[in-house]
Amino acid sequence: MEHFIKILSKPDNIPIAGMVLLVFFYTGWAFVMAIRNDLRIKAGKGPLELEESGLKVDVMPHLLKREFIAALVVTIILVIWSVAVNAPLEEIANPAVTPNPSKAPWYFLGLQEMLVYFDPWLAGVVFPTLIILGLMAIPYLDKNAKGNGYYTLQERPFAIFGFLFGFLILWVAMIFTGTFMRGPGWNFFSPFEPWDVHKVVPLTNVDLSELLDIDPKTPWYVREVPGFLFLLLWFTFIPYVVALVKRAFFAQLGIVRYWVTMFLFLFMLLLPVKMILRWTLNLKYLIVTPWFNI
Amino acid sequence: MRTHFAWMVTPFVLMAAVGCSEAKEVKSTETAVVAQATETPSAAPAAPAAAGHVTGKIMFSGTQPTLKKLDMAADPVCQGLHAGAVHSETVLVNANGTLKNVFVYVKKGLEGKTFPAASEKVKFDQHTCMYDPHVMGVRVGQPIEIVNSDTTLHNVHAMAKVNPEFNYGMPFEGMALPAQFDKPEIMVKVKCDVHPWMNAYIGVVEHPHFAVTGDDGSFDLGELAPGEYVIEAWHEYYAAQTQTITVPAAGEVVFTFAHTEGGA
Amino acid sequence: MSRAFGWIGIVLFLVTLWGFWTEYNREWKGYQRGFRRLLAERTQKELQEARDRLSGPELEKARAALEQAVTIKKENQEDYDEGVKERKAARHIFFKEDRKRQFIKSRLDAALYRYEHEVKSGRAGEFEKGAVEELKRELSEQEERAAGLEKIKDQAEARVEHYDSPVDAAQADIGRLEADVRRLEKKLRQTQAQALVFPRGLEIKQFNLEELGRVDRCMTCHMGADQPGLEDAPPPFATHPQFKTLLASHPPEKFGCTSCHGGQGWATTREAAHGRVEFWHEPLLDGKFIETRCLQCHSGVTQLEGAPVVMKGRQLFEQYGCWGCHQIEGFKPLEEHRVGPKLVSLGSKTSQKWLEAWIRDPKTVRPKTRMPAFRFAEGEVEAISAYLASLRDDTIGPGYAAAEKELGHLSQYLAEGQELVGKLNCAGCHKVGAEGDVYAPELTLIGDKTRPEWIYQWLKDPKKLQPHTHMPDFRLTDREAFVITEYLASLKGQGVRAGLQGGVQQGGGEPQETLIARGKELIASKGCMACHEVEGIEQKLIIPPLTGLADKHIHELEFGYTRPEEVPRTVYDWVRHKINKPGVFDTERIFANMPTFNLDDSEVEALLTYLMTLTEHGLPESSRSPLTERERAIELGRQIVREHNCTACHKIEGVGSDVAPDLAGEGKKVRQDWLFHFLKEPRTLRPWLDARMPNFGFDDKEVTGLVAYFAALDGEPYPYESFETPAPTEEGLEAGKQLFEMFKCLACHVAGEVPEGVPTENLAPDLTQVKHRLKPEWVKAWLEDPQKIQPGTRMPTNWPYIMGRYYVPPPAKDILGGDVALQIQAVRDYLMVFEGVEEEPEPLPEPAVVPAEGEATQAEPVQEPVFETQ
Repeated sequence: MEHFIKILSKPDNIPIAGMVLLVFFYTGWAFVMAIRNDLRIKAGKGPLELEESGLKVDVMPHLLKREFIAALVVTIILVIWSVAVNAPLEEIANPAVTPNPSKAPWYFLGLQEMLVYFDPWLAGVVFPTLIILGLMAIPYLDKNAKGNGYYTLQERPFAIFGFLFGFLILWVAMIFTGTFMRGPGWNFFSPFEPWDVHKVVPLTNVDLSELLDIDPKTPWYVREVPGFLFLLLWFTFIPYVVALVKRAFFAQLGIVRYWVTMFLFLFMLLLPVKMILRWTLNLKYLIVTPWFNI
Repeated sequence: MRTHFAWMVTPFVLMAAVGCSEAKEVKSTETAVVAQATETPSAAPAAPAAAGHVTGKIMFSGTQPTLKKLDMAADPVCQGLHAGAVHSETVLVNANGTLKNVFVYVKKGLEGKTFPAASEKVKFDQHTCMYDPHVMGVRVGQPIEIVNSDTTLHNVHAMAKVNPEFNYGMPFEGMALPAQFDKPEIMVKVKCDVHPWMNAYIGVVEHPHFAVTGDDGSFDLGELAPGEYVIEAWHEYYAAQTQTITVPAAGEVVFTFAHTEGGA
Repeated sequence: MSRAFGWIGIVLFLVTLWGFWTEYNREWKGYQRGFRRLLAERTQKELQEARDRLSGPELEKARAALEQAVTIKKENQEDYDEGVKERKAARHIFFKEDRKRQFIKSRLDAALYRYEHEVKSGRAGEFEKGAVEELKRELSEQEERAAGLEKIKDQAEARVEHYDSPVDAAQADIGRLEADVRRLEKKLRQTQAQALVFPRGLEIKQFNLEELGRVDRCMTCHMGADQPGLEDAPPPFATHPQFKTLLASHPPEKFGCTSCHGGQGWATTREAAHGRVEFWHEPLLDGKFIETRCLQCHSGVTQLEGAPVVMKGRQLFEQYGCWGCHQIEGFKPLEEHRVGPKLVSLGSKTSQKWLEAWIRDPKTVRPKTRMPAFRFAEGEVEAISAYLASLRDDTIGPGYAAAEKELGHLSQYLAEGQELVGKLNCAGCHKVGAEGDVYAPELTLIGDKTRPEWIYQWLKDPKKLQPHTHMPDFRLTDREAFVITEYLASLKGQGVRAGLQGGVQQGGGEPQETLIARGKELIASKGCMACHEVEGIEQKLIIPPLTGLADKHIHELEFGYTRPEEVPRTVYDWVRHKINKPGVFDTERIFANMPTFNLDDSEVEALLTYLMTLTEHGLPESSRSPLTERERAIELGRQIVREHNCTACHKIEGVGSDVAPDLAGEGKKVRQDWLFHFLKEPRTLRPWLDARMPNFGFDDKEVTGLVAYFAALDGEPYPYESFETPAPTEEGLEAGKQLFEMFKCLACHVAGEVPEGVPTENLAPDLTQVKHRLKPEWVKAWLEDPQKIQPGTRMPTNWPYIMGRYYVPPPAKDILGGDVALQIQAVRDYLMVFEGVEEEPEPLPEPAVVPAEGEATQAEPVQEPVFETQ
C-alpha cells in the first residue's frame, strides 16, 4: 500500500491521477446529460439544449464573474502548488547512466505501451500518423447529422462507442497503466507491488510462422503468408460481414467512406487483439519482413 | 558501581587517617598502603628534640649487604690511585646500624614560603675516580663548583629530567666549572661516561630544610614553623619512605630501611 | 455569486500572505537569524566580562586622578582663564615676530647671493657686503627678540598646561582602560542591529567553484565555520574542528565544503544539503569516511596528518596483497613482487601434515598471519599439500650437516642461541613467545614446522632461498647460525609435530601422482598465484578489478540471502561485510572465490575506508596537491623504511626502538657516498652494541631512496653535496693536535683497531673514519655541543657554555688565543686528517702523588680516599 501511495504522491503523477478523476467525472457527466436528452427525445420533446438556446443573458456580469472566479481559483491552486510541491528532480543527468524505468511524458505513454506489442515502425510512425489522419478525416467520414450540439447516446452509438473506446481505453487506460503499473525494465507490477529491479519474468515469444511450424529457412514472402492472410481477412472479411448485418450503416456511408471508417476502426481494434494474442499465445509478430514487422 | 568503589576505598582511608594522626609511631603511611616487604618495627624515641627543630636518624635493620667490586681496569690511572679493591657505594651501613647517604628533606608543608637565596658555593669533586660527595643536596639556584682533582679525563654527565641535562668534559687536573640547577628535582643522577662505575646523586630543593646522612646516620632539618609537614627519606637503592610530622614534635623522626632484593 | 467571489478573494489574499510567510520562514534564514542572535548574546557576555574586569583598582585610581585634576582646574578657574588669555596673546605676538624673522632671513639670503655674485664676477662688491652685514645685524636682533618672546610663550603655555595636562592624562588612562568596553559596546550595537526580527541582509552565501564544478552554499547556515573563536558554540554555528590543520590549509573559497564532506552543496534546505535524500549519490560523509576525500588530492603519500584511518587502509591493502588479485587503476605497490613467499622447495622445508593444517586454516597455526583461509571442498587441501610437499631442493642439507658434524649437539647451545636471539633483536620483527612484532612470521612453534637444515641455510643466506625476502643477512658465523638453529628447532608445541621427518605422506585413498596433479590444477584455479609464485603454474582465475568501487550503484550489488537488518542496503555495508566474510553473499548461483582474511574490526574499517576512495569522479588535476622533490623523497623513504621494518631496531623520525642508534639528524651527519656504501655493505661501527646492522641486500633504487630520504629530512641538498672544505694551516693543524691530545679524546674513542682486553661498553666510534664518514660542518656542531644534537649522549662538551660564557680549560687558554670557535675548527681540521696513532700513544699522566706535609704542588690538595669499613 505504501508503494502505491508513494507513486501516487510523486509530484508529476498527481496531475495524472487528477486527470483520471476528471475524465471519469466528465464521462459520467456526459452520460447523465446524454441519457437525459435521450429520454426527452423518446418522450417527444427536443433536447434540453434546444430549449435553452432561446434564453440569453449578459456577458457582464454573468460570464465574466464566473470567468474571474475561475481565474482566482486557478491562481489559488497555482500559488499553493508552487509553494508546497517541489519540482520532481531526480538524479543529475548522466549520459552514461539511463534511469530505469525510462518513461515517456504522460501524453506519449500510450504509444510507449504499444511498443511492447508492436514493432517501433508501427507503434511510433504508422499508428500516430493514422491517428492524426483519422482525426482529420472524421468530419468527412461522419455522415450522421443527428446529435449536433446536444448530448445524446442513442442517436450516435457508433461514434460515441468509437470515441470512448479509442479515448478511454486506448488512451487514458494506457496512460494509467504506463504510470502506475510499469516498473523497472518495463515489467508489469501491480500497483501495490514494490518495484524490484531484479525481477525476472519469462517473456519468451514466438511469431505466427513459428507457431504454425513453418520452416524458418523459407523465404519471407512464403513464410508469412498466413500472416498476410490474417490481415487480409481482418480488413476485408470483417467489414463485409458487418456491412451485411448493418445495412443502414453501410448505406449511409457509401462504400468508400464505409471502408475507410472500418479500416480505421479495425486498425484501432488491432491493438487489443494483438495484446490478447500476446498474453494467450505468446505471439510476437503476425508478419515478419526484413523491413518491418506487424 | 560508584558505591561499590566507595566501600572499597573507605577502609584504606581510615587506615591512613589512623596512621597519619600518630606522629610518634614509626609506621610509614606510604609503605602501609603499598604492599612491600619492608619491616615496620616499633618506635624507639630518643631524647626529645627542641620544639620546632626537627632532627632524626635513619636506621638500617639487618647487616650490610655485600657490595660489588669495581673493575677499574679500563683506566690504569684510576687503578693506580687505589691500593686495594674498591667497592661500590650503593648501600653503606654505618657502624652504629644507621644508613649513610640518605637524602632527607621536607617534601610538603613549605608551599608558598619564600627563603633567602642561597649564595654559598658547594663543591662537587672528582678524585681517585670517585665522586665526592656521593649524595649531595643543593638549593635551587645555589652555585655548585665542579672540580676535577684527578689527572685523568673525567666528564660530569648530569642526567637531569626537570632541569636541563648537561655533560661537561674535564680533561685537566684542577679544572673547575660552575653549575647550578634552577628547578627543584629529586634526584639528579650524575655519571661519568669515561668511567662507568662513577655515579653520584644530587637533590635540588627550594628550601634549606634538607640533609644528607653521614657516618652517624643522623640528619637535622633545622627550625620549622609549627604546622604539619611530610618528610621524605630518599636512598639510591631502596624505595623512598615518607612520614608526616607535626611541629612542634616531641621526639626524633626515625626511618628504618631493610634490605630487599631489587630495592623495593 | 458575489458572495462566492468575495470569499474566494479573501482566500486568495490569505494564500498570498501565506506565500510571503513561507518566504520569511525559510529554513536557512532561521539559521542565519539564530547565528546573529548568538553573536549578539556573546558580545553581550563579553561586554559584561569586560565591564567586570574594569571595576578594578586601576580604574578607581584613574577616575580619582581625573576628578582631582578637574577640581584643581575649577578651583583655579581665574588663573586658568587668565592663562588662556595670556597664552593667546603670547602666541600671537610670537608668531608675528617669528614671521618677521623669517622675512629678514630670506632677505639676507638674497643679499648673500648678490654679494657672492659680485665677487664671483670679479668685483669687490663693497656695497653688497655692507648690505649683508646690515641684514646680519638685523637678523640677530630679531632672533633675540623672537627667542625672548618664545620663552614667554612657552611660559604661558606651561601655565595653562599645568591644569590641562593632568586632566588629559587621566582621561587618556581611563580611555585606555575602557578601550575594551568601548569597543565591545560598539560591537554590541552592531550585532544587535543585525539580530532584529526583520533584519536586513540575510542572503545565501555561496562559493562558486568553477574548476571543481561545484557551488557550495553550506556556509549559509554554517556561518561560524571560518571564525576561530566559536569552538563552543552549538552546531551548526561552531568553528570548524581542527581549524588550523584543516580549514586554514583548505580555505573554503578555494576548495568549497563538499569536496571534502560530500553532500549537495547547492541545496538550500538542511535535509537536501546534507544529501541524504533519494537521487543524490554523494551523501554527507560521516566520521572516518571523510578521510576518503583526502586521498583524491593527496594521492602520492602514504602518511597524512589528519587521515590515519584511510592511510592505514591503504597500507593494509598493500600489505595483505589484495592488489595481487584485484587490480586498481593507478595503484602501484612499492615492491612489485608478490606478497607471499615463493612456493619452492617446500618439501625440504616442512612436512605435508603441517602444510595441510596451514592451508586449511592458517590462523589456527599462526594467529597473526596475513595468509587467508580459502573455502575448500573435500580432498582439495590434501591434493594441494601433496603437490607442494613434492617440491624438493637438495642443496639445503650440506651446510647444516657440516656444522653439526663439527659442533655436535650440546645442551649449552640452547641457552647460547636464545641469548644471541635476544642480542640480535630478532624480536624486532619476529614474535617469539609473548614478545616481538608481527612484521615477520611468528617463530613460537617454528620447531614444529621447519627442518633444522632449512633454518640453518636460511640464517646463513636468506636471499638464496627466497630472492625477495625482507629477512636480512646478519653476517653470522657458522657457529652462531648453528646455535640459533638449535634454539629455534627446540621451540615446539603439540599438534603438527609428528610427521616432520616423514617427508611426503601418503594421502588416504588416491594414488600420489593423481593427487599431485590435482593439486597443481587447484593451485592455478583457486587463486594462490595472486600472492605466491609457483614455478610452472599460471593463474587461471578471473577476478574483478576494484577501480570505481565507490561509484557502484546499489542495484549493481548482490546481497544474497542476507536480510536488511543484517546487512543494510548501502554500498558501504556491502563492502564491509564482504571483506569480513566473503562468502556471506553466496547464493545457489553465485559462489565467491575470495578467501577469508579474518581481519579484526578496526582493520576492516580501515580497509573499507580506503576502498571507498576508489572513484572515477575525483577532483580535477588542478586542485591536486603536488609534492615537492623533498616531499617525494621523504615519502619514498618512509615507504622503504616501513617495507623493511627499520624501526624494529632504529628510531626514525622519533618512532622505533633503541636497540640501534637513533637516526635523527643522519642526513646532516653522514656523507652520502659513505651512507650509500654502508647500506649496501654494512660493517660494525660500534662493537660495544649487542645488535649488529645486517645486510638487507638492497638494490640501487632502495639505497638511493634511503640516502635521499635522510637528506630530505634534514633539508640537505641531494644529490650534489657540497662541503665546506677545510684548508688548515700548519699552525692550525698543530693547534688541533695539541687540543686533541689535551682533551684526551682517545680515552674513549678508538683509533683504528679496537683495543684487546678492554671492556667494550666504554668505547666510542673510530676516529680514523671521520674523514670518510662525517660531514665537516656536522663535526664542528658536534664538538661544540653534542647534547644538543643527541641528548643523553656520552660525549661531553669540552668547551662548556655555562651561564653566558664559555669555559676554556686553563691549559688550552693559550692555544689560538683561547678563541673557542677557532679551537673547535682546529680540532675539526685535525680530525679530518687523522690517520690514527703512529707511535705509542702518549703515556697517560702519572698517578697523582699525595703531597707531603708543607709541600704545595697544586692549588687544592688531593684528599685521601675515604672508605667505609666493609
